[in-house]
Amino acid sequence: MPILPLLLMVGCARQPPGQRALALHAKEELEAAAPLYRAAREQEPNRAQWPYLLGVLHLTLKQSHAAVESLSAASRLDPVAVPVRLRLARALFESGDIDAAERVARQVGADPEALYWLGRALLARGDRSGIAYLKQACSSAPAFGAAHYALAVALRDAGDAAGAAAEFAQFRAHPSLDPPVRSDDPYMEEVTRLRENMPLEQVRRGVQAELAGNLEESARLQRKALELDPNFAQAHINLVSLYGRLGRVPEAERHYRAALAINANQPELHHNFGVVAASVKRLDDAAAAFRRALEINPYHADAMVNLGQVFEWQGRWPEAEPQYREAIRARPNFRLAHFQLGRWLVARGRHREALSHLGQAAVEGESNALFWFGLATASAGTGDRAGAFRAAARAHRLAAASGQRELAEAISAQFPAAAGATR
Amino acid sequence: MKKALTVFAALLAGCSARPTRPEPGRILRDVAEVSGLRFRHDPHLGREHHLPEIMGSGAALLDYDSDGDLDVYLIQSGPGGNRMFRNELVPGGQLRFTDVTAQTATGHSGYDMGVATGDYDGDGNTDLFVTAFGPSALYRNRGNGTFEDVTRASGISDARWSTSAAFLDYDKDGDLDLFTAAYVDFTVKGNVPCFDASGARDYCNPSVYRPLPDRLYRNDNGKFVDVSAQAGLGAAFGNGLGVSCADFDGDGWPDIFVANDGNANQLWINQRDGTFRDTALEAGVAYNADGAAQAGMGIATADFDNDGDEDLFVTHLAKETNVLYVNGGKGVFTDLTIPFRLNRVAVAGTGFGTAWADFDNDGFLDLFIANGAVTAVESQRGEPYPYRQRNQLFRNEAGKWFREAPLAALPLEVSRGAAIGDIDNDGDLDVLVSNNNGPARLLLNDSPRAGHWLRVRVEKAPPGTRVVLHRPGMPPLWRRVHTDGSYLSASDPRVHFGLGANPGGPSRLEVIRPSGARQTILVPGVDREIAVVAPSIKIKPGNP
Repeated sequence: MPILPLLLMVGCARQPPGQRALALHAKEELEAAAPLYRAAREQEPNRAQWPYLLGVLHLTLKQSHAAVESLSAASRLDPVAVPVRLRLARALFESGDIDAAERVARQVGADPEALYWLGRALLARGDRSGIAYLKQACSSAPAFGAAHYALAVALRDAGDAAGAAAEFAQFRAHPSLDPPVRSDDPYMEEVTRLRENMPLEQVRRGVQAELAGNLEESARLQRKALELDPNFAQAHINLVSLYGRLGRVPEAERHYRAALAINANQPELHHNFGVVAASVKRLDDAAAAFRRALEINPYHADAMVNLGQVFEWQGRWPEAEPQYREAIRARPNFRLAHFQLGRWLVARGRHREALSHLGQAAVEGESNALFWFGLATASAGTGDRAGAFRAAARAHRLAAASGQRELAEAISAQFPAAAGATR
Repeated sequence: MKKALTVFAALLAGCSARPTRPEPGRILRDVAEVSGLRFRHDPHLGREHHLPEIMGSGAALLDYDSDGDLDVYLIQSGPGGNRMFRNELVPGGQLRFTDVTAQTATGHSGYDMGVATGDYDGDGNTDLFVTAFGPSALYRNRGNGTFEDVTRASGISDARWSTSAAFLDYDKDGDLDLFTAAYVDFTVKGNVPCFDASGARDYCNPSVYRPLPDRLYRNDNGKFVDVSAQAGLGAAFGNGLGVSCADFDGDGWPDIFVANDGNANQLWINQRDGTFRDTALEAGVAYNADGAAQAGMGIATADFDNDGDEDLFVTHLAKETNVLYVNGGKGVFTDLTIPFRLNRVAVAGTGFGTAWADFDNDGFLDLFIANGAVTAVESQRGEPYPYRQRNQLFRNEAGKWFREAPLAALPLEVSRGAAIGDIDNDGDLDVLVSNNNGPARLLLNDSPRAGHWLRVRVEKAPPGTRVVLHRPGMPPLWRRVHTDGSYLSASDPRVHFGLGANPGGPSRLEVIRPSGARQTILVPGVDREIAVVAPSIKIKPGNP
């Protein structure tokens, strides 16, 4: 029995330290990787890769002084490599050596990340010319969230409230802090390649693809994770949701079953399947799935609201109300729950009560036309014609702007004057 | 011979001209065991790595029996219950603790997390609010050495996972309301198995679960009404762990800062009409200077740079940095962690409890951080509980920057809560540390006196009352009455001033209550406690 582990150990020990460090780095076992990188550095003192990767690792561990030492050494060995100097600029900045950070960033030139560090270094010294560099970083890499954030803060401090608000909005739209992906970082290539074989990495990339709106690509990456580890429950759970949204219900159900066999006690799994089942009007299955999610997690407000909706579709009206109320109790500002309860109350003629909930669903900034339509209906029910008109006009504008023609027509039919209203 | 004597005299003169400054890092000595404070936190570890196991628990320093010294309340997770220890310093004269849990009826035994202290019923006695993974509890101090569990009668019914809590008078109606942070919707049944990089079971990142909204309860004559939704607090929420209430924008109304674990923090600015608005993003405290949401755990709030506004320090994971947000005066902050050198650490820890405290009485607030990992420390893999880390103390170098002062004499533990107060009433600040799966530590400050001090007890002062010490020719020192902040813990409400070697000439003490009422008092001398009772003062003999 002990032969296999022994063989594995021998195999590991024979690998050069740099290779072992790369493998550990890829797995994010950083503290274990560090001494191996140091050993590799001693064995191959003229190779820039080892001090560079050690520096990257120190940066991740927030050991900025150690990062400066390693990255300076890498920079001496490979003075032209841009990624080395960019990371050195960051390490110098984080170590408090602002002047050196500025110098190194300037040497790199027009790279967005270099402009970012240059801007931050100047601003850290109180030099507002840094704002111009941050603006350049943002314009050359519009999805560089960290640059938008730094620019927003700098503009705020400079008294440019409108500029700051615009940049904060850009930051919200591009929350990824990472600088643009580099194709000229050969030293990191091996770590990246090793990560290709890690299911978690595939799931992460899949989530990013989903956030970018690419559901097919996200599903492909989740499947790849399952190829690497068929028991990766999270990938199955994600596929239930993705296939549901792609309308591929049998595949969603297959992954639901597969995930159940691995770990049935995951509320998201049942909730996601409930949504899929509800979308094809398998209402009993949907209700059972939402109930199962709530058994596991009694605070799952989404499952409560969705179960309430299923009850309504099943004609079990009285059972829906407590679900909506419980969801609001679990999450007081849950707009969808307020909307559903408000709608339910409107249907029972309880307009005044409905109004308070629909008023909490249709709040400033809410872009769901249905919520405003609900508010209009409840307002009309209480005799507040002006309020009803305002809400209906807003609902109509939102519906028209988002291409919801049927909804816009329904609003027009109920509130004819609202359709012609202008902002 | 004569020459040698001269040199010796010159050395002596040099020494006396410049008082020795002790290293705060060497002055904290654990006296828990010898003083009778025997308590061991037991998270009831199982094999499934349930997330609540690694998150607790807290501790409180409070004078429950109003005898003038600080008693200790320690939170337990599960059977065994919380413990109350009475400090026998007054009148006994010796720091000794007696377990009075049974007499005081404070042995709540849920899977408890934290504690907040405050006089919610305005009877002059300190009450207790206990947060938990499960139902929280409110204990009213009867004023006769006993408490009663008034949870049900108070209207507070919250069985979700609540963490830090704070009493505050957000509507300025004269009674204390309650804010509780909530973490995630973890359930035992829904426990997700998580693994570390080596494939071993470990505790999950909270992002595996959904965040829960925090709660604000308005005190209506002793009944607490959940006003979270109408106050607008549900508009944004994360995995709440730390809470600190202070007037961050300087408008005279209490605001609320919430440190979220892995999500943007919230800065709820009081709109003075019963509602709050989250300004954390524009204020620059939602994220660090890189724009990154970090794992916010504990909070220390104070005017560390003596400019009259409240600055924030937030603790995070070891692979992040703790962050110093410096207030520009109107609730707009700048992350100045790097210039103040708070990212320069010997070994990074995962910070939880934290507090500003002038440990060496030099007039500048130092920082204490209680550390303990939440996922296995690589170098400790294979150990039964591989989450131990060293606590940290950062010394404020005359307001210019901070320098880590080693706490080498203390063991590596999994620290969570930290409460600050002058436990032995000797004029310097001590620390109570609660450890996860370990003993409570009472770290006594044994510093040879580096500076003079003044302690102010403002009677019937709601949290947020500001106490300003005006000294001729020196900048004023701003402190505030509070027990909240840190992590899951409650600190000494008395206000402490370190005054340095030269306390200055005749000083004035200004007390500004949240109502706007101001009192000015001439300080009769230093190295003593002053009790401020509107409109007159009582002076207690000092024990320098």
